[in-house]
Amino acid sequence: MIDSAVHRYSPQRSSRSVFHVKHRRRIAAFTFALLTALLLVGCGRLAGPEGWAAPIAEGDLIFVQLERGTITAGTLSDSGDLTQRWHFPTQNDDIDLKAIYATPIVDAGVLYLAAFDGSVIAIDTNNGRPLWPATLNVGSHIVATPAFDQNHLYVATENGEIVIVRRDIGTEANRYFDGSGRIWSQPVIVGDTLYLGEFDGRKLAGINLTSGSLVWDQSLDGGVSANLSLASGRIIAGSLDRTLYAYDIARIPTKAWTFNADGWIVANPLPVGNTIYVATLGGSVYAIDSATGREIWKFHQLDSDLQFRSQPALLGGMLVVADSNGGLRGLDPLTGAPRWERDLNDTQLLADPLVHNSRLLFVTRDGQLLLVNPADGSVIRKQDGEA
Amino acid sequence: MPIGAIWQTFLETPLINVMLLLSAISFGSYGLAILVFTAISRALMFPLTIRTLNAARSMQEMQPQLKEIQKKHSDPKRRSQETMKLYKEAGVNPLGCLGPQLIQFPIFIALYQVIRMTLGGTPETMISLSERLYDVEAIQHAVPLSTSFLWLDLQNSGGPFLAVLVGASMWLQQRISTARNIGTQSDQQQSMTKMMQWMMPIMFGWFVLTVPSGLGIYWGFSTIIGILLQWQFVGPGDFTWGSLIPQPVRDSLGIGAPASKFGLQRRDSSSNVSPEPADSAGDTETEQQDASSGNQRTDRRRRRRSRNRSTRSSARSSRRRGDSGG
Repeated sequence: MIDSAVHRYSPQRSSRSVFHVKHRRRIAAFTFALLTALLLVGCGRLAGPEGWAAPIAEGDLIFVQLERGTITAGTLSDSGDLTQRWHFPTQNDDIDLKAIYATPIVDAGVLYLAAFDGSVIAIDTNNGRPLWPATLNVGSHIVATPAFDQNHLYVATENGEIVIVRRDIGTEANRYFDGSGRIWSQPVIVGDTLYLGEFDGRKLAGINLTSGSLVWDQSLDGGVSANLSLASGRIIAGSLDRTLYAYDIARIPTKAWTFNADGWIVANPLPVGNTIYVATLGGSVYAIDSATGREIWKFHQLDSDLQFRSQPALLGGMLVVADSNGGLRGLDPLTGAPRWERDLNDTQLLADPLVHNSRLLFVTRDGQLLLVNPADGSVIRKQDGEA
Repeated sequence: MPIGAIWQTFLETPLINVMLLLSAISFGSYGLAILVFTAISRALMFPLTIRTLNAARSMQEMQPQLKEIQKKHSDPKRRSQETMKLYKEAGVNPLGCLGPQLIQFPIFIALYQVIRMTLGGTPETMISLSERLYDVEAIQHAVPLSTSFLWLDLQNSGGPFLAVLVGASMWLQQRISTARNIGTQSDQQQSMTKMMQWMMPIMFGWFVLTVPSGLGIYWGFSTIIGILLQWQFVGPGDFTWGSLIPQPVRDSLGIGAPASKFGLQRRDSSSNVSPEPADSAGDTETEQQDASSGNQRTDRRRRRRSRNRSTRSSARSSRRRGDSGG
């Protein structure tokens, strides 16, 4: 075999093989470069937690997450300028909350924060300083907005636990463990029962607040991410199985109706009177009769890739919806007919809006404030630095 | 189209949907879906793999000729030329074994992204994921995925057990594939090979400790499939299970030492490979039994293939001579 190969050796063949070697080297170099580029592309994305806590207000003071893991308090002028009073945490606090998804709770001059890193903190709204002797960490990520009553906060965690925190001193009063995985939706309290929707567990559950025992559960086809809400004596739950569920909770919860939508329901439903407004990641907005579950109207823009993550807002006779890619729309709440549209293509709107002095206040993903006039859709836009 | 968009459109997004569909089919178990995906991807790469394995077998069969070249030519350049000629004549690409590895590389990276995205710990990841899903009910309903599989949390590190499992399987694969070529390598190459035999498993074991365990499952299972294919189609070379027993244990059991520093030498009297003289320390009856027990299973198959291959090679050479003559 070797002899024959040597015998057939010729300069022409040699030059051809040199060409082949060069050619192969080029292919190898190109392949290597391509793979390196793919490696860089493949490994260089996916941002960490950012948080989409909705802004809230107490009197003239608004509380908003403009930077990741930081709450800023201030007053907002009609021109959209935010006069800052304080922000938390400061550099001296040496706390990294990572991100805030849970909408802060404000009550009687105290702001309660539940942050992604698991911290639960009470802050004096006057000066922005912590009220409890120590920051409580529940030992798991927090995405869900806590439920609360006069004495306690009920903090649902990503471990599937409900941690009961005393509002006066910030200590853990109790901890109920369900263990089915992440809870991302805000629970609701009805009587002595806490109702919650589980994301990983794909179910609704009711826990007796006195004993901590499970009094009811109902499996669903999809996880629950949107906050639970109450309408006409029913629990309303939106799910990733594209279904809106309504359960009567007068005695033993029973299914009242279900409504099939066109996409994941991640945005919090908005019950107003006998109507529930719900927006989906499939790009539709629905008005649903809360008594029957019947569709009253549907808004869907054809040939678009709209996604609605934030809750619709009803103000001044206009239903305002914000899609994830910065589009704002005013819809007639009775018919769903579009009245106006604004596109802010360079930003994302994930947080729920706040009704503030006859305007809607939106916080964009990159920390800008938008004051929207619901009547005509005019927008006042302020950078976080200016605000 | 920028490379990021190409990556997403043609690899990442389809893979996300495939994984979710597999998860839906696999009773909602994402771990099982990863195993199924690994098996499917290895099946799709089977033609390439079999080509690689054939090349490995050819390399193994060429060992005597390679040794002859090494003895005959002291000039490294000349030796390299002759070696390349021999490879060319036999239709063997010595770098051919890189093919499946190179193809697996982007799949590995894409799977890393897919696991991070599908099991993503943050709500933003879920929103991003929703943008990438095809409008198929089974796929849409697959989210959220179950993150637990066996003792593992798929979005977190697999821990030391998985790392050792992946490292050990990689070591075994390296051991089987390098042992057959070791005879013709210089001391420097041998030490390099031996270093790689340890470095790669250690490196991947470390990877497994730092990446989501789903990725470790993919790599470990893929390696095990690779070992099985190699064993089936090429044979274990001079590897025997007995050679895994550490020397002190062998001494205490009175088994004796392995035939060479890389394991027991293969005895293949029927093929055109000349029997290698074993080191005197390892030339015992037990070792021969070890060696033959490790190879007898594949010897008959190998002899048959060798005959077929010789016939094909002769026919090819004849054709070439005819071509050049014509």
